[in-house]
Amino acid sequence: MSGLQRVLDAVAESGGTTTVEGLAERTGLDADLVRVALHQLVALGRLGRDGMSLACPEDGCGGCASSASTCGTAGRGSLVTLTLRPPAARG
Amino acid sequence: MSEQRSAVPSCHADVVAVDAPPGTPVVALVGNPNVGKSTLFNRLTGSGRDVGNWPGTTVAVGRALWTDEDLGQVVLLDLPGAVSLDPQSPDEELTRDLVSRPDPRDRPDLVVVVTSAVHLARGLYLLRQVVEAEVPCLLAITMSDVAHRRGIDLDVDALAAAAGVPVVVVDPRRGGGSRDLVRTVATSLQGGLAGRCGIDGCTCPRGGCACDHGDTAVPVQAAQPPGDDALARAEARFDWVAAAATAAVLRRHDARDTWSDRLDRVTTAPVLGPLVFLAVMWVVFQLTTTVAAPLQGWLDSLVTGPVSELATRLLDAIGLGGTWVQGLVVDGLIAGVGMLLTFVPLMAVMFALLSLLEDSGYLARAAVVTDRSMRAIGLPGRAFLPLVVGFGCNVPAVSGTRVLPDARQRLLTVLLVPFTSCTARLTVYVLVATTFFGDRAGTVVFGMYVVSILFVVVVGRLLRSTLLRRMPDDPLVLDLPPYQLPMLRLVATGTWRRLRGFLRTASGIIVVTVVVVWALSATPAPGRGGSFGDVPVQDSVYAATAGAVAPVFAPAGFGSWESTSALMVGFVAKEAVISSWAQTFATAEPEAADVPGSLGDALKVSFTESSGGYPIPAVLAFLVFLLAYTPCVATLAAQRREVGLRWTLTGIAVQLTIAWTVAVPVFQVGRLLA
Repeated sequence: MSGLQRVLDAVAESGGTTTVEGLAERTGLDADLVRVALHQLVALGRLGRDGMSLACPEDGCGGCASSASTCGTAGRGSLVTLTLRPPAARG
Repeated sequence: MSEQRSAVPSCHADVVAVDAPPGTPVVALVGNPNVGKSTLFNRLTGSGRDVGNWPGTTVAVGRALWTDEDLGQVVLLDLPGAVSLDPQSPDEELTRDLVSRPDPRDRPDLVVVVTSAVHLARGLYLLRQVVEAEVPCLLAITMSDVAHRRGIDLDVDALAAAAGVPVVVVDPRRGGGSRDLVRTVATSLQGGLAGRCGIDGCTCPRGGCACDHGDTAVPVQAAQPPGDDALARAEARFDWVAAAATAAVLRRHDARDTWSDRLDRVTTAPVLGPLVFLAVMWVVFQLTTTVAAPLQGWLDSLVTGPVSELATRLLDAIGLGGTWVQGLVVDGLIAGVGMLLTFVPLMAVMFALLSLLEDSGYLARAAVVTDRSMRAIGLPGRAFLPLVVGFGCNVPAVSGTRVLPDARQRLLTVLLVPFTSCTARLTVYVLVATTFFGDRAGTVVFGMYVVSILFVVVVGRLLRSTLLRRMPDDPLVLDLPPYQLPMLRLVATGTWRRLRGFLRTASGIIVVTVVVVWALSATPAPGRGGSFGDVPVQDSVYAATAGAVAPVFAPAGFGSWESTSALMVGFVAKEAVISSWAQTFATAEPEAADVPGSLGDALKVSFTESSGGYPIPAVLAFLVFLLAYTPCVATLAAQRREVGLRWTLTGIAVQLTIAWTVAVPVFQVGRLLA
């Protein structure tokens, strides 16, 4: 099985929250390789990537009611989360 | 391609403005962020350009003439840092565009892929994509000394053989390897080594390839399956990277962890991690209350003194003194909004500390610790994200629940978000805590956040064991940034961004609320004497309405109409609790309101009276109620949008019930203990 598929399976089987290091342990791959795999899976649309900030919305509370997960701008120290997405349907 | 342009790449004339003779070769440095690419650029060209760690220093395309006796003259481009050529940011998009122009003649003559020996796999991934773009390239390895200290050594020959491109080890900071790089670039530009990395193995688009490593290189094209299966192609790419990295990386047994790793062992440890988190937050609140207190006191003096006096004199001068306009402006807007604005220094300190923690990478660890707590109580992992956001502001937290795939997860999280203590509530905590607890104010504020977490945990468990028993736990991967020294610029930007949100709230919805509260407190209640603008506040519609509800809070020790009205106004926004109190007491005792700190004194009197002489338990009960009941109308609107009116109303009922049910024993037990 390809390393990429192993990482994807490990994410799916984690059944909750896991970290890059956790995936490295689970797959036996180096953490850097896991990051490469995750990056590729994001590019493929199999994972969604979000940066998380705790900031208040820039136009005050209530000013971002239609936003996605957070109104703040994620910075270099922000937590990055990756979530599984269903594979795109084949035309 | 160099023959096609006059001085620089024709398609990049707008970004490459180096004055070079026609036909000058173009060499581009491409690499992941923070691998020393810009340092290498400066080392080679001597241009002395700023080098930094974060987009901003390499967002623009750097370019300079690189002149060397062995190389001749070359236009050297420093392209923005990119993780890959699958762009996920404008920087990466620019790099992708410049490297992989549709017409090969418009691409650089040579790409130097710069990668760190510490994170070789990431660089190899980028290299592989450059190779696939059919651009002649070579690999420059930086930070091999850092890698060595971490127990990582590289077999450069094996790497060159596996990757199928020339590999040069450089040390941009000290100049090590520069001559090797010059020679390799020169050879490559003459159609030598680098030409061999075309996607068809040894077939070079410009001809003249040297395929001396052809037998040992991991074949790029051969690993690719036929067809257009994106996943299969990605798998082939990944396996190529893994094979090359495995061949090249030698891990020694004397490897040392980085300080970031060592710190992580403490900050994310199952038991120690939460303790560290609590300690850090205690320090934050302690610093916030002690550092900002003098500034806040000064602003309070300014608002209650010169600003109010000036406004009164101006109104007198234009003949509006003593009219309802004076009441609106002085006792309403200046007392209410002005009092809220005295919290600007406090919020600035708080936001600066949070920005500092975020930029250092610690807040991401705090999120992991929080997640673990959520999971321990049986909440799904993905639900913790909106809850963490809720500590900043409940509105985006509620909106953020829409990323949860399961309807019950969404509902549970939407119902829990209001129990996370947003920054709007912080202003009330601080006012009350500094008034009643003096030096221990920071600890009291910190305690409110602990209570907030307890509310989430207990209510979450309650809902999971009753209304929402079955719930899937979808996978979620957390990628923690490495710890880093905070950058002043980024901390300042983050602080200002948060402070601006606070100021916009204060200048928007709070101003409207203050006007409405003023109008209600200027209107006589039915059966009472007086006329609009000329009625004691105790006889106003405002006081009468609050007075009708106040007995409900008597068992909790804060059954006065002043506190009840503040809580009612707090439905609009929690900051309005402060403006409401300030207005109420300013209207009731205009003379006393001109004295700095008078609001605190008035609160002490009010809570002492309403609690029968037990103000401290009553204040604690008030704070608990304030924390647990409905946050604001904006949150309610967001809740209605996400889960509908029925569940929003259910949520309000749950919040009010829990708030009252907890506040009453807090007061009653506190009174017994006192």
